Amino acid sequence: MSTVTLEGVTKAFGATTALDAVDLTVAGGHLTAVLGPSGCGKTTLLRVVAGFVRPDAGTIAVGGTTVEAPGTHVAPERRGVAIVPQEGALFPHLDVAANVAFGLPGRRRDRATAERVEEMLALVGLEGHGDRRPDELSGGQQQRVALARALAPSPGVVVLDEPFSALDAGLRTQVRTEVRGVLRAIGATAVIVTHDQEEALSMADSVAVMDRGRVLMHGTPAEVYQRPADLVVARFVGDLVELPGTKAGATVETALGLLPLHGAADVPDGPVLAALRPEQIRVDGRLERHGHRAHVDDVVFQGHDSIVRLTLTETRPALRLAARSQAPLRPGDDVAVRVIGPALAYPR
Amino acid sequence: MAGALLALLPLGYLVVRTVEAGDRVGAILARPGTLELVGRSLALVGTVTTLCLVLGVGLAALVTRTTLPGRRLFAVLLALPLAVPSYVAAFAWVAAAPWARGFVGATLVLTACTYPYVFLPVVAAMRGVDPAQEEVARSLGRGPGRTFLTVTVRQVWPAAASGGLLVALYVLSDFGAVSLLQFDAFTRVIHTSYRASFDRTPAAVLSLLLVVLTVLIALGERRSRGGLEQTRVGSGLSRRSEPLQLGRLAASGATAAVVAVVGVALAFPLASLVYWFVTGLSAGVDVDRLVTSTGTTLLLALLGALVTMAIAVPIGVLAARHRSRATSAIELGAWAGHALPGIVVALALVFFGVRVAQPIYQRTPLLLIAYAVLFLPAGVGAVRASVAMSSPRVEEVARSLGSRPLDVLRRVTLPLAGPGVAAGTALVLLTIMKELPATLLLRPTGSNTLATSLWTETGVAAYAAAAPYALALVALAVAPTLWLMHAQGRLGESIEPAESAESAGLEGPAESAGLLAPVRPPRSHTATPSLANVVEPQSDPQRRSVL
Amino acid sequence: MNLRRRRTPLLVTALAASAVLALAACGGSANQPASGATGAAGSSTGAAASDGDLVIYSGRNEKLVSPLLDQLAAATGVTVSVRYAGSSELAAQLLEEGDATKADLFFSQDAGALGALGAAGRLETLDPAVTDTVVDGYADPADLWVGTSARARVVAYHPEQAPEAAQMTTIDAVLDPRYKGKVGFAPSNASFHAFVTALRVTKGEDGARAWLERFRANEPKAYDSNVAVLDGVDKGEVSLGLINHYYWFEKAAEKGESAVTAKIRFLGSDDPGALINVAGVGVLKGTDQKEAATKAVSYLLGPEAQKYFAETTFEYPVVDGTPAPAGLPALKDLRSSSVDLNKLDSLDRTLALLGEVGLT
Repeated sequence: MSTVTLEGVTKAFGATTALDAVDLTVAGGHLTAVLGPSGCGKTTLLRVVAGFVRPDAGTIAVGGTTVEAPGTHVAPERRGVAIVPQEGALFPHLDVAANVAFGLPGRRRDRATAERVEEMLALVGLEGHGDRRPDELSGGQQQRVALARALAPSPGVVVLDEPFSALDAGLRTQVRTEVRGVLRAIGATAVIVTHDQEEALSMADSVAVMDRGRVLMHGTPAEVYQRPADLVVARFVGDLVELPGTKAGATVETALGLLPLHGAADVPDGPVLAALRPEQIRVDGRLERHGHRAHVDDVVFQGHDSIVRLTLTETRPALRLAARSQAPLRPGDDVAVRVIGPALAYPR
Repeated sequence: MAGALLALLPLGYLVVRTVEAGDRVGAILARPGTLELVGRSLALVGTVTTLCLVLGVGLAALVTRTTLPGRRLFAVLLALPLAVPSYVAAFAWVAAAPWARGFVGATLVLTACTYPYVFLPVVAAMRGVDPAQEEVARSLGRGPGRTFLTVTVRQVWPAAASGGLLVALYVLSDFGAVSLLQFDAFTRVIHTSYRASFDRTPAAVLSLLLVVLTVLIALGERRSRGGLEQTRVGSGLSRRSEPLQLGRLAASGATAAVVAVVGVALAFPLASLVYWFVTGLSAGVDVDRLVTSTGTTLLLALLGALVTMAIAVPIGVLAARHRSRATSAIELGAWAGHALPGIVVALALVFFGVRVAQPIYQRTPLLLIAYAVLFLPAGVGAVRASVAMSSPRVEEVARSLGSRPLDVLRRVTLPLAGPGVAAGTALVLLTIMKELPATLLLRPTGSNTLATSLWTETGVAAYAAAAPYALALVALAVAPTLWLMHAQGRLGESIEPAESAESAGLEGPAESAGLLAPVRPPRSHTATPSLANVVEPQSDPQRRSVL
Repeated sequence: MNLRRRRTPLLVTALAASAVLALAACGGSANQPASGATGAAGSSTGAAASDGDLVIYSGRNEKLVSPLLDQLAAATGVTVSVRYAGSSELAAQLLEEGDATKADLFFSQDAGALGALGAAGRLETLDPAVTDTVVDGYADPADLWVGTSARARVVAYHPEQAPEAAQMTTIDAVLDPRYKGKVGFAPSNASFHAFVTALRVTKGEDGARAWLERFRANEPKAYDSNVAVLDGVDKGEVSLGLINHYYWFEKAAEKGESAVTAKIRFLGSDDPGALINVAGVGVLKGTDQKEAATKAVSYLLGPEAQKYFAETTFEYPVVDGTPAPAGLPALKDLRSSSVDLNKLDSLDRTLALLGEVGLT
């Protein structure tokens, strides 16, 4: 289970800085998600680790071996870093079994090879599909074959580049769960690159959030979601309800009242932006309950709950915010709003 | 890379000869006729290329995108003129139609012989066209005609443009047809210059000028398709467009047009040959010579194609995967060689042969090298295009699985480029069979190909005696033409379009849609299918096209 | 846990190696199937060249001379191998090859190519005893090459459309406005170029230009070969045609004299329109087959070869004593004595002039 360590890794394409002195340690046996918006450099990060792009500066070590440093460049095939690209990129001229066997040392017909191929296909739930052609498989199946292919030679590290983006929503959730199960089962070190915060949070042991070539934060999914290091991370990792407020010690005064803060030592007292997750905002149709009065502008039904857009009626100027609610609300309803749990505070 | 340098050999030779000329270069270029010559040649190249583009794209659309009756048969028949050497077609026209001379005749014959260079790749490309774009255009109020011109043609333009380049270079380098049809193109003047003064300098200077023209044309073609290839992003669709229903009137009009093209380009020259063949039967056919010439042609063409492709494959892969100034220069150099008249390339190899390769001079190996120099671009172009069409991601996966670069080439790149390599091989095979000037000077003394036998017979104006060789040549060339069609068809159908920005190492545009759209339905879907029943319909085109 | 690497034979290397092997193997063998290509069993001309052979580069067509060269091999005991191509291409090739050439003998369709090789110092001096046997004026004055056969320019005419041509004596007659659009010629043909050169030699540059401009003004009809010109006259597409004499004889031999409508007219002896051009041979400098080459030259000037030219290719023999083809005026009577054949290598001027006048 190789640990991957990046130190000061920098890469520019012309005027665009894709990686800006990135430091990152991916723990052995963990599944780490690299999360960021389009163009943030996360795919470049992955390609640098796999050895397809040489960084301008910095060092990379895989399993304690330096694979990238000034004057050192270990070829991709000697790094033990297996890649699962977007859309799988199966070899279209080979059948499924030959795809999986591609990285195995023995010949295709060797018993050891055949057994390993069956083992891997079983792992990804595709027993007996060995003689299919890639174009006879569904997108989810292709993705799982790609994973089996990457895992078959027992690589030190598996890197996955937006592996689920080509799948439709229902399939995505399910294949994701399967893949996570497989990676857990063999205890592989895995890096998955994604722009989908839900995917990152639900799959990974740790999440590194990137923006403009920099790693803004690296922590557990809970840390990243609940205690984002800065506003950019906070906004990217989930929906955010932002309220102007005034910080005083461990509390912040906002239109929704005095809210407790998560460890707020590094933000000075005074005007701040207080931030909440929509699910922290409870909406109640019964106005007699205590809470802040609000007017329902819009309700977007989502099945299990609804996104409710509200205007606080007590404040001047009017403040709009979004909440989640399972209550049967309609536009025009007057409701009571209250906040659950601590808020975050960032410099205004 | 030695192979690539080989392609530059004729250029080196021309530079040597031109430098020798010293002060005379200016005088030769300043000759009153030179500018006019450039104009005349460019006029012919422009006219023929334009006609070929119109014919090639139009006919390809008719046989792939409409309900034209008999379109499968026509698709084959329309490709077959490629098997008719332009000098054979020129003979046929000269003998039968006295008006088919000069510019008109050269345009007619060269267009008839070369439009398949556009037709074939465009047929393949039409089959891979994304119908969604056409549907969008129609839904936005464009009629079928305008949609075709503004959307469909744009999509097949890279294929059409590379075919057009082959046509343009063919026209520039053709000697047989323009000479028979008495059109003073570059090659005819270069030949005359050799003949007139037995002085190689003016010919070399003019040839170098021809090279400059070629490079400009090749650069123009690259520019014209450059932007378009970049726009093909993500997973293409292999869903076919609905064919356009032709009404009775349109169908008969289209059929008449197709029949006319087949008649002019294929049936007429063939009928002429058969007529001469029958006329000459009474005089007897030299069966021995016919058989040995056929055998030699076949052997030389097979070996020549093997050698050419052995050099073309690495260059094509490099050109597709490692674009750099060096590979661009080598590619352009190879194209330049393609437009030179065979006599110039032959003399360059004579120059090289007697100095460096005396043991193989006027032996088969040097002749095969000459073929490689002449026809490398056709091979390289086919390999480059097909390698560029398969995703570089696939190769990266192979490397990340422990394959070294050469293993990746063997196990992944080449198998994927298979249809392209096959198409290139067929094209080279076909062209070698028809080659004359280099074969004449470099063949082993005493051996004859069908082309040289044909030349011998027509040298004494014995059309009837020449007919069997011409017919054998056409018959022999039919096989690689059909093969080429087949290979191009597979090329168009089976390989996913290239990715673009991804290959630069930056994130591609594919993920740009709907990012940062913050509100997503969280958590589970209610009806989660189990792993066992997610198998989707296998014919689902979206899925098929992922790989 | 690095991935294990695999050692697999490299396909590319193997491909390249096999290609090289294939090349090496067919360096010799690919010639074999072709070696019988001339068809004549037992012929020595078809064999691939080997060191002891007399190598002839022939600019004369294989159909016309290969039987003669077979006879030559048989009669002299010399093993001959022949490379056929156009005279000018072969001259360019010989100039390019220089000392390294494998050729021993150059058999050219016209004197110009021989003159160019002579001027470049690529030809051996021939034995004057041999060159003296040909009619005066048909060998190089410096004995670098010798003519082997001759052909005359003639005017072909359609006897009904232009009966008066039977009495024509000068080429200037074709400028008559009555032949407007009715004169056929082959502007790309070397013999026509030789005729224009003769015009320049006899009339001077200005005179030749004036003649060509008038000729052009008369809207002559261009054909791609002498054969096509003669066919044109025969069918009555044109009334007159500028050709070489033997095309008529070949046509007559092929179709029977009575089936040929067209007639030919030999012009006056000093007229450029009656130019006699020659085919000839030269021995390449540095040949390792000098003795065989000399024998071959002598054979080509000998009675058998001269008879072959007269009877098979309908050309004029150039050695006294061999009769001209039946029905031809004697060579001596035809000679355009004012034209020095060596000047025919100033062809570039001729072509430039044709270009300037617009007759290409």
